[in-house]
Amino acid sequence: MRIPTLLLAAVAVSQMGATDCGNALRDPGFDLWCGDQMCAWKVEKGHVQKVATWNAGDPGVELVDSDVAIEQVSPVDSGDGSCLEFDLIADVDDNAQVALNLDVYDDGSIEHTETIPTSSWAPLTFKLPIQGVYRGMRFELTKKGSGHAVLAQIGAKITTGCDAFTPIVPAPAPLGAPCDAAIGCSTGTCEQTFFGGFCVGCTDGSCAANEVCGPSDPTSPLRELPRLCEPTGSRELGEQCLHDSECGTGICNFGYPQPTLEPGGEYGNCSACRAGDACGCDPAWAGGDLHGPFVCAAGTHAGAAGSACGDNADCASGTCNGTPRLQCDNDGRECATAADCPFDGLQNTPCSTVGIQGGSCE
Amino acid sequence: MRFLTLAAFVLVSFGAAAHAEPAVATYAIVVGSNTGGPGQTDLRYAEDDARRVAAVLTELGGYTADTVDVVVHPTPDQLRERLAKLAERVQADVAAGRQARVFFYYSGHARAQAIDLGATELPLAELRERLFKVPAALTVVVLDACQSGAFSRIKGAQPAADFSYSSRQHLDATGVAVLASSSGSELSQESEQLKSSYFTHHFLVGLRGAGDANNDGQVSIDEAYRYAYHQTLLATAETAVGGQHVTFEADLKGHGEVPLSYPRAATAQIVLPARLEGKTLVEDRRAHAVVAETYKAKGAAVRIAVAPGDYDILVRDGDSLSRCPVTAPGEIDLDRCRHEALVADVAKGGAAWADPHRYMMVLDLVVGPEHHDAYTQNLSAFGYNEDLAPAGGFALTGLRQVLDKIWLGGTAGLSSIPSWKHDVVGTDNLHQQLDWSVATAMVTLRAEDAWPVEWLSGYAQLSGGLGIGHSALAGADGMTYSSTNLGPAFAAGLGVHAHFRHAGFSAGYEYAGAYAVKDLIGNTHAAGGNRLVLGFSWGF
Repeated sequence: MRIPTLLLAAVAVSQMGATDCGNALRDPGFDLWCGDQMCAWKVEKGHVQKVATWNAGDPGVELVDSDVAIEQVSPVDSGDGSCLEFDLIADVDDNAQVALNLDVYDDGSIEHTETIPTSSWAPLTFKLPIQGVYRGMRFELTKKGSGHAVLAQIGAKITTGCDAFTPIVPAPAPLGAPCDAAIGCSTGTCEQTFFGGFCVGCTDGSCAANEVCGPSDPTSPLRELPRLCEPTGSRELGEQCLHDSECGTGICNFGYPQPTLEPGGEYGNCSACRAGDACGCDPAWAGGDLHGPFVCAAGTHAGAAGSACGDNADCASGTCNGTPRLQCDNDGRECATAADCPFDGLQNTPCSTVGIQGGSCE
Repeated sequence: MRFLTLAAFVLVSFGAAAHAEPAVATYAIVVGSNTGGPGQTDLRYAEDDARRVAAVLTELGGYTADTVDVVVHPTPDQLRERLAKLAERVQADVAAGRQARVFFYYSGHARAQAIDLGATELPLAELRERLFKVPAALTVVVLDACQSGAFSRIKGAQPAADFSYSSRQHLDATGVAVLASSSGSELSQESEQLKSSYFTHHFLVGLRGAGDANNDGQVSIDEAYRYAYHQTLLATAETAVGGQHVTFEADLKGHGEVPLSYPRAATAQIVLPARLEGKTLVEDRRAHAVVAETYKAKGAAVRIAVAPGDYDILVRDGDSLSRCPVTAPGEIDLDRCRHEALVADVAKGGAAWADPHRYMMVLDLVVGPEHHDAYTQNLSAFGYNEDLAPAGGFALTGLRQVLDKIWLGGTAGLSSIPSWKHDVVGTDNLHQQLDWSVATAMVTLRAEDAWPVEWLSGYAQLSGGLGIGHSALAGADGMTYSSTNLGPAFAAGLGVHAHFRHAGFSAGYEYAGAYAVKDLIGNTHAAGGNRLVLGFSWGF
């Protein structure tokens, strides 16, 4: 198979420090509010509201309903450390049951639940060690019951001194997660590269005759694109690919000039032509070192009706029909919001509309 | 500075003769008693004053040593006995056809109706009766009486007025005049600087010649009174107790001047030359004792009768201080005077003209680490970090001396507390910052005493009052959230205070706290902590 070396380089870089001075959570004090919603935390269910804590200018979050859950995905990984120290300040009465759930890899499996005791703004500190290699974690705070529960602070910081505590043993790594050996992967396959291994669902030649082992749709900003057997020719013009056979056009173009030097640059895009073709084959969009599908006479308003396009400027009619393409600025993966994109520090990189996917000129 | 109070009573009665003549016998009983009665603090200089009075009477008053009876710390019975003996001697003189002159002096404590001679009293009525039974042609009675004084050996003015008034009514029939050291509503005072009572000191200086207004070589009772009146009032005007007015009432019908001393006839005199001007202090160089103190006006020479010997004359005119050596008898040679630097006001002893300051303003700069408590621990728990800069501010204190070594007043202060800052994790330079300060208004009690030299004092200070805490939290949303709280405040400190005339500097330690910064979850910060205090003071 073709090895996405630069992608793995990005993995390696992220493992050198995915925290903010050791802090694994963004806005641990619930200080950032976008209107009546938290900016850095996502409400999974229930209703929350902004309330004052020790000072009206230092807000916390009140978990209002009887079944509430908020979460934040963090890029913290084993490169940062394997001992997490939590500092928590809350005002929780007897009729509220508040818990902190840890979901290593953000794969939906809760590895550890820590019950937050009843307290009235008394600081609570505890440590949790994590065993082995991991990449990323989802922190979930839940409340059940009708009681009053206000969270003022939930800091998670990489530290030391966890030897005395029983470590959290992550479930086998999901697709796209880093691994040391096949046994560590839920798929049973750990693809080794120069920078380390990551769990894949297939390898070149392992798929059926009408399938090809290529990047599938992203599942978590923490992990690489899942490598799965995909039907041959199932990718539209503009989607990411590794092999020509993944694309409906039969062409997976790796860029111009190639290769690029950015993470994700090792993925190509399903294109209508190859760079250097006599038709004036150029990418239909470009953002930094990322690019879109290569089409003939890109951007010259020369495309006839029905010809491949990635942007309205590719068509003589000025209209390129297709699906708007939203992708992460960081690595070009498809996204709906920034929350789907890989992290830069503790923040997700932007998700931007770049052009048209599967387009044809009107 | 130290102020003692004293009440003096002078009662004078006159018989037929006013001039000391060879045919007139002279007698004096001079009584001093430092010991106070129940609830009274002992005096320090009453007995010394009595000895000084006796010395001046002998030296300048025409009395001989065997006719001056110095009675120190007597019991009532002992005093009765002395008065009885005196009466017998005068009776004998009268029988022999000689007129007699009697001088009675008393310095000590007194109550409304009696003088206190230690634990026992001698009723004033009895004293009057015994004195007036003495068949003298001229009787001079000086009572330097004091009433109970709480801290500073205050002598009561009330008995002075009481005694003076009733005495006058009683003595009118026999032509008696009354001289009192203070009015009926005033307290009289002792001075540690003079090591005497104000009144007795100036009364004696007047007798030494400073009171000889008409320069006839003798000091009459009128001259002595006028001199003592002005000098005592000047000296006590700025004391904590207040001005002391000497009163004099005399019935001298048909009589001329009554000389009390004859300074020109003294064996030695110091002549203050006509062109000398200023507040003048005569100091016995060997005894290091102040013999006389007067204001010498330009234009006429003044003679001060003293014992032969070496003296230093210190003359202060405005900010100029001169020291003039002189040997008595003799006149000051102004060309031999040398200028000296003025020293700071003294707490006790030293130059008598070092005016005691009744008021003091102190501007303190305070700096030190901020106190940590549950409030700041909560800030730490919420992820805030304290600035490295220390807390600092200033305090302005106004004080009035209310007792010896004790000052009372108020302090207003303002202190800035180090900011606490919290970076919002995962953002680019977004943070929350708490800025806060505390203002205080307190009552201040200060004890200060000279140590180990006169210009250097040690002090201890205690303040209590209210604090107003103000906090402003700049939130991550760009808004500022302010709050103001009120709470009790205190400060306790000690240090040293160097003072030079009006100005002074101090350095010390203080622990302060103002429980005036509160949060919404029940924590109160005691703003303050250990403080280094550097101050500038101004006394007036």
